[in-house]
Amino acid sequence: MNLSHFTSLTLILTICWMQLYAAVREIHNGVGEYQVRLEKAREEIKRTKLQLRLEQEHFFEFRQHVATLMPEVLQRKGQGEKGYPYRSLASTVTKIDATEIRMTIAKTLFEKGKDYYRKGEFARAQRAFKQLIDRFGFSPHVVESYFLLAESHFRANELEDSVAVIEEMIELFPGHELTGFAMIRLGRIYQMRNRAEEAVEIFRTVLRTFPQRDVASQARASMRGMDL
Amino acid sequence: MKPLRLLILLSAFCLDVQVHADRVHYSENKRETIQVSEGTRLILDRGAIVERREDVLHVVQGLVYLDANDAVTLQTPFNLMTCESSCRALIERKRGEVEIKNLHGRVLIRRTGEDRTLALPAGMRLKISRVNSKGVAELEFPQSLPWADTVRTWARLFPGDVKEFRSTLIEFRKDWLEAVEAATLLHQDYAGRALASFEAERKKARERREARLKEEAELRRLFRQKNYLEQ
Repeated sequence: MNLSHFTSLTLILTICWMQLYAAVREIHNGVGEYQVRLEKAREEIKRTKLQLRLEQEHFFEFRQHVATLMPEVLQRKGQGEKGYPYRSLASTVTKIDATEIRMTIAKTLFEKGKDYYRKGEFARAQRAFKQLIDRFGFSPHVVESYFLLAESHFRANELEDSVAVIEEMIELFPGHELTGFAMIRLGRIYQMRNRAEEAVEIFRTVLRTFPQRDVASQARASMRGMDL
Repeated sequence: MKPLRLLILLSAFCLDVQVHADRVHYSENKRETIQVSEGTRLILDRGAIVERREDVLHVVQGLVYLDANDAVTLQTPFNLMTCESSCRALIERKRGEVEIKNLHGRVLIRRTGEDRTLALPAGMRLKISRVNSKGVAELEFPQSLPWADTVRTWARLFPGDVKEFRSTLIEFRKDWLEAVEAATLLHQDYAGRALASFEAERKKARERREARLKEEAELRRLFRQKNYLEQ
């Protein structure tokens, strides 16, 4: 055996010995066991959280069931001193006027948005209108909110956002008069971006689709403006 | 000894998960599919929990997509939702409310505390929240689905391939357009009624103010008259 072979063999044996040592150390130093324990503990926490969520759900379901029985129970047993516990229990149930309260909040939010818009505080106005659209979609002010949101974006020179809101309006309220006005605004945006043909097409669509006198006359005026 | 302990530990964990998974479905990190019956499946988004109690599936939290070809019933504390034959719907359960978006077919909804069943047409959404003091779950005004949001969510949970999704979407577009038109009319009608009641309220307030002013004028007249007589 020459020297180079002997050196190579020694090197290989050393590496193997080191690998073996590392493996044995890994097994016997207890880290692996801790890792397994840690993993187990994590799984246990997950299971407990899930169990807790289910327990909460069952309790919530029970409460909702009790709430459905409350009107009848109150009618029968809710009077006088003895009826106090029932009345107390019923007081935790959601009030019927929740809808009315929400309507009032929506109206206030709309007025606030309009106020900001009038003052030229467009970022604040946008926040108010967006909040109304997201949280009070049932409100009668929702179409006006969309319209004023688009206008706020336009006035704040955020043309892309304005176009996105107008497109949403066209999708959701295709026959509404305010959608007609918003489309005229869309035509104007195209006009500003030197896309005259598309702008004319939009004005024509408005003339064809919206019978309302104000919308039509506005569209006609916009088209005349383009001719000039 | 150690491998044996590990094996016992692992088998115990697997056994527990199996017992659990039989009743509760929780898609912790990725979407999960529950095959309810041969033609019906429920796709759970990340974080959604569905509990199976007898034949009824309870949506506990998160977003689920129902793709049904047989009759199936889903429940929350606020409502019972039944799909009679073939339907597709997105159901989003939050703590205090549930939102149902009907994408195809006939979905019947019965809110908690009421025997009446409502049919939600395709392309419409409905929010139902906690039981109120009248003993029924609060029902919001039905609205048409927002196109972009709905398609984005649907695409994420759709179980088929892109081609299949595109054809389904084309089919849905027709239903959605009809729903938008219906919702616009409904909304206009509702807004009209709200405005009318607001006008009536204003008229009443005006009348009350006028009556008060008249009474005050009368009092002033009497006062002057009295003073005059006293002079």
